[in-house]
Amino acid sequence: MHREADPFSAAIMACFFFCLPWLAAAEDVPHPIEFNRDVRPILSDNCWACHGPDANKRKSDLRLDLHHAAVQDAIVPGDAAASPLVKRIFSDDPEEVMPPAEHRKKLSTAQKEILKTWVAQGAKRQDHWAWIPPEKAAGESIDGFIEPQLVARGLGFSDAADSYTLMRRLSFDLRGLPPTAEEMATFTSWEKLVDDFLASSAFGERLAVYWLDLVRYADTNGYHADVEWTVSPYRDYVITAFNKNIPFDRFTREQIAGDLIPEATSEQRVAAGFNRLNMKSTEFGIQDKEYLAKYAADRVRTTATTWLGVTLGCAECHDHKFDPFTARDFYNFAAFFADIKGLGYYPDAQKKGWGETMEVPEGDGQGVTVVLPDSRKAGQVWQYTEQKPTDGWGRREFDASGWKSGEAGFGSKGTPGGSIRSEWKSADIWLRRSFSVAEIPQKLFLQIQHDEDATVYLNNKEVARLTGYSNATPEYVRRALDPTALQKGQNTIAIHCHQTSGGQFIDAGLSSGNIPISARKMLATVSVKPRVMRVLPRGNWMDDSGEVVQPATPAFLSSGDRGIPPARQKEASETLPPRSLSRSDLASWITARNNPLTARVFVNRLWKLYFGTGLARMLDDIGSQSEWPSHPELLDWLAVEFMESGWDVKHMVKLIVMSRAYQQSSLESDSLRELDPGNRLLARQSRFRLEAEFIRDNALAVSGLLDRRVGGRSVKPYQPGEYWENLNFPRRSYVASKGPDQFRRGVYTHWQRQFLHPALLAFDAPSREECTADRPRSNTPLAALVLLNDPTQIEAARALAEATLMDAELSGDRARIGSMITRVLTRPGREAEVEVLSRLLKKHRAEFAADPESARRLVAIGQHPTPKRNDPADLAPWISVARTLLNLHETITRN
Amino acid sequence: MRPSPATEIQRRAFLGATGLGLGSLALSSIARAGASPPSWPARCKRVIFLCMAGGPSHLETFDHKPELANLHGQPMPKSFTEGQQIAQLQGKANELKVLGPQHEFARHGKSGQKIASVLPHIASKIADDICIVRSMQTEQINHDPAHTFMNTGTAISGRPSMGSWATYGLGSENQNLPGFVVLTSVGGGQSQPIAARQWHSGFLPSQYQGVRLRSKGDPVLYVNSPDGVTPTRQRDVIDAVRQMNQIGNQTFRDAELDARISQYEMAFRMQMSVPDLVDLSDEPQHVMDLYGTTGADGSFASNCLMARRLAERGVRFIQLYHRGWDHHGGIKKGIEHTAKLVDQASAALVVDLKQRGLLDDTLVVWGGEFGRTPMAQGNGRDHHIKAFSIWMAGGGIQPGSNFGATDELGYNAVENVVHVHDFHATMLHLMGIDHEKFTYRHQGRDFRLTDVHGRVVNDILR
Repeated sequence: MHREADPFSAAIMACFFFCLPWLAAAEDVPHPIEFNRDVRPILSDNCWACHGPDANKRKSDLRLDLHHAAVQDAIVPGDAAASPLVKRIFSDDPEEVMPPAEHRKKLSTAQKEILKTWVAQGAKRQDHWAWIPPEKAAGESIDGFIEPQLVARGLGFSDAADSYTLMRRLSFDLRGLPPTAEEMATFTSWEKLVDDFLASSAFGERLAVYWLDLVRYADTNGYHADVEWTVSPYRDYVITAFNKNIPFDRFTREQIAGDLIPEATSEQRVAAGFNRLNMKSTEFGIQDKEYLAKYAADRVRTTATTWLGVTLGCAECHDHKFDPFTARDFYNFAAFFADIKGLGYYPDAQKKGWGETMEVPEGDGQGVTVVLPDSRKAGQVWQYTEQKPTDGWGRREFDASGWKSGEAGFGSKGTPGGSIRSEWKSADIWLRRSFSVAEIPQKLFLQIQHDEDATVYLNNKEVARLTGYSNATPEYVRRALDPTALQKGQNTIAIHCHQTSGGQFIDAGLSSGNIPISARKMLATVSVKPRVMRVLPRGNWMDDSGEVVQPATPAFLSSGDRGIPPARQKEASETLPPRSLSRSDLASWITARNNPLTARVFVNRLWKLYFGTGLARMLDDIGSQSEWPSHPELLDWLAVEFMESGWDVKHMVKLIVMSRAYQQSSLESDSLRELDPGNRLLARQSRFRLEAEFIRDNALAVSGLLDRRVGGRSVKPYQPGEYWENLNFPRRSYVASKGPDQFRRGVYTHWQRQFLHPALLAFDAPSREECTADRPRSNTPLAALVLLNDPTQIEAARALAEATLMDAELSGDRARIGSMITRVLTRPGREAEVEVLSRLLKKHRAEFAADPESARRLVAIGQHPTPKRNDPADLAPWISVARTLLNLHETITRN
Repeated sequence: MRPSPATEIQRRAFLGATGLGLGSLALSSIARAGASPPSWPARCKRVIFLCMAGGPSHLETFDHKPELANLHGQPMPKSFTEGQQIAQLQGKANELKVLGPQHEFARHGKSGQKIASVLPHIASKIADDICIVRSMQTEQINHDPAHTFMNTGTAISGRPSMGSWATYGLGSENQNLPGFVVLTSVGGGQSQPIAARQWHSGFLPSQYQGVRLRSKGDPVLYVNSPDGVTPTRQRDVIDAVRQMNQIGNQTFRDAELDARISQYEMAFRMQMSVPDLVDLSDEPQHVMDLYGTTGADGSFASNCLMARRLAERGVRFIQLYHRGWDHHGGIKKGIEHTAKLVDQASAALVVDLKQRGLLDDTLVVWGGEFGRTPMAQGNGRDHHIKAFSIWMAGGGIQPGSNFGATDELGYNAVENVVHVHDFHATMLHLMGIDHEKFTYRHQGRDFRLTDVHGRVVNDILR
């Protein structure tokens, strides 16, 4: 029995198998044995590598993972003595004993006894718990599943935490931010607080931090040159989706197959950008085919871990060793993504880009009014001619009575990027349309789809000249125009479009707005004729001998009623072969009611966010090698509740945080620490360090520096010089963001895969090169150095000190210190704490007074200006006080 | 089943900070890692890996192939290249021509090691100290994944690097410095990017991540106190933090707190000890001259001297990258240039470690992520994975020896092939670790540095 375990674990390991294996209390062999809980982990870990699913490594043609095979060859149910399996594991003969003497894994006496008892009791088997669709056990509430286990051990729930702690806990859990003083002061009821926090835009930001790790969202390509690309609209989609509480099944479909949804909105196509977030390479000399294989494997690993919580990626080179996934399953799964347009090698990507992109208007589109609609929603009538008109054809008063009229868009059949309502096949077309405006807007925008060159006139004045074609994606191009070309009353827009080769198309409209609008690019998912997918023997991309495979879900999870739902989704793509399954089908299967994995995996991860550990501890593998859940019935109850609620994420969050279990104190008695060191029984809440982003957010929030705008381009916090010196192609320097952008939440930090911002890295944020379901929580000197010395922290300390000194209601050092403690810890200060900080203040006040130059240097750190009335020598000692508070264990701990 | 990762890390940090001896520390980490305690004594305590990033040509450094000169300019025999993977020469399969060795080779030392003329210091000073392995093979033909493979044993991101494995297994001997330190330098060819992934701890606990020692800015990120904050004032703040934490914990009672306090103490000790580490003013002139450095300027030479200082201070794994070996064109001059930046200091490091008695328990490794083609790419050579050369010295390695051989054109390693996995197995073996038993469970699987491969190359051990 081998576990990756702590040295304490000699004792723990001895009792690993018993009914609650994570409990540090010795118990007897359980009666009766339950296969999944007691036997499966032993067989999976010790036997199946040679007697399991992997056909290539199977020894003696014996399978112990399948009931009928095991009973045929190795087990006599009910008769341990007659069972070869029992004989072999108890054998003293080195030739006979199993696992073999030279094998790394050995069975303990307790494990052997369990197997023997299991055989004696009839060798009953269960399918692995996670492969069985969850059923809702009788139960009314979360607490109802937890409390009986506590009572059975003479325990009970801990008392509720005090209100300061509770509000702070809830605020960090739901928003990743501390509660404000006002929220603390106006508290009325727990439920109202929960609802308020769920309704705040910070809720989506908080959950996005978790989701973005899974989908390995980052601002750079990851391999070799690690250059920037723009995918921030996807990040904003995730935030908005959680805020709008988009049902999780829809959220899933939009990401995996948003582009295939008929009449897909811009938002859905942004969501489908999930499929383009994988690392890509621009390294000269790589082979396209090799990298397409790497990307395909990456998509399988990411999708399988993100939604299914299984390690399907292990089956790239061979059948899975522990779970019934075959190598063929792996390539079948990869084939779902074979229609995504893309390359293996992206030459000169910094100039030429990363393939398909779309443009996404910045801002939320509010404040934008349509001046003249384009024909995306409904055909708009234009006058047009295909004969070169006389001069002045763009004037309002031009006589176009000889022109034809027709609905836009104009184009030739088959040209992508818009709806063709009037056929245009000749080389040139001239279009005119009249419209009236009541007021001249401050900002005017043209939205246009052109294939190819187009010149646009307003009242005969040329306002835009566009070359080439814009319709690589259905998104129209947006261009700012000079609004003074308009006049009150009647206006005429005129367009000349010229065709050079291939397809042809033209349509346009106008909009206005008083907010500045620019567009962000976003890597787009475009479906094309699928690449041929083969099983790659041993994962070798150069070996073309493998069988060609079609998209299919893992076989053992797709038999009988667990297959793809029969109603094939209607899809936008015209390029997919008619009878082949698509990403839409994959999304349907993932969120089908009888898929045993998806709902369990998601609620388990939610539980982790609110209790520190999942009900099933391993967040990235609930397969055979995973650990038995602490409360399996609760996990299933939550999973079913999630599906029955219509995949309502906020409902689930509310359900969890309204429970008594959630609201308990996290204080830990000595006896509890002894009995349940991992807090798996949930006789108390857990406490854990804040995630990297929230440590930053907290410092900025309590100091008043935080910029709370939601969404937008990624930003660059201060970073030590030369941190990027090992990047090349090209060499580049880091320029920290200016103004409010410097003070944005951590979720908006520029994510450089090869050199993640060191303050995030020090607190365990992942590089997002690969899907990450479970961030570690380390405690290192490097993290201490960040809190002590990072300019972001120093500037926050200064702002906190300034705000305290500026507060006219505070007089005297002690009142100010007390106020500062409350701001940072959201609780009143203790006398002894005020005392410690007073002493520090006094000492540093004297020192900085004697050394005003050093005070000036300290106060100069950071971009935001210091109020003039603050003398650096007065401010500096207060910065020491504020730094102390920002470095406290309690400050970065959610308890 | 086991304490939460946080508890584990905290416990580990606590042990580290309370100065328990190396023995118990090492034992406990091995036990936790799931491996048996060392079943043989460690031959080396630390590793200095001189990574020649970009892929040095074995054919111009350590692997002499006179037959290449005979065939120079002629088509490369297809029997070698057909069906084989190539990098930048792809699409030119019909025009592949042989490029003769661009530099002379001669025999050196009592052992008669054959070394190219571009490495005169290595040849004249340490030929009898090193073991040249001429039969290395890897699996990744492009720089980025090839480095990842060399460091982690796989091309998939997110796995621990060998330095992290070593530090995880054996802990650090120094309470003031990280156990795994990385330095980089450039010059001599286009500078290959090096991702932080190369020294990342992957799924191992974060404190086993490599820490970069930098020549510009703060030598370690954030190791300098804010402007205007003297060491005393910094100490005051850290003391106040500790006192406040202790007061808070009278009611907070968090088991993690002791670890937090000790990490702050270590942070402060790092703040105090790093400036001393990087201050070369205590090095006598003859030592500076030995390495050929004028000061801590971020050159490979100064990094080698820094590596010795780190080794003296008990740092477990020291990795130096020199990012200048990618000679697709102009290899004759290019390799001469890069070698000149690297040769003297590489030799000096071995000499210096030896004269200080450190070489016996320090393994020095010199080599790149792959080799280069016998075929010309213009007047340079392309990436090549079927053969390359490295050398090792100290730490239980047979001095003045060589191992393995390539075919007559230096294309395939044909005799005593040493795969990257075998190299890893051997390195761990020298550190007293059984590579097959040294595992860490992640996603339900027991991961090893050597995956499911690797064998110890006993023939090169002393």
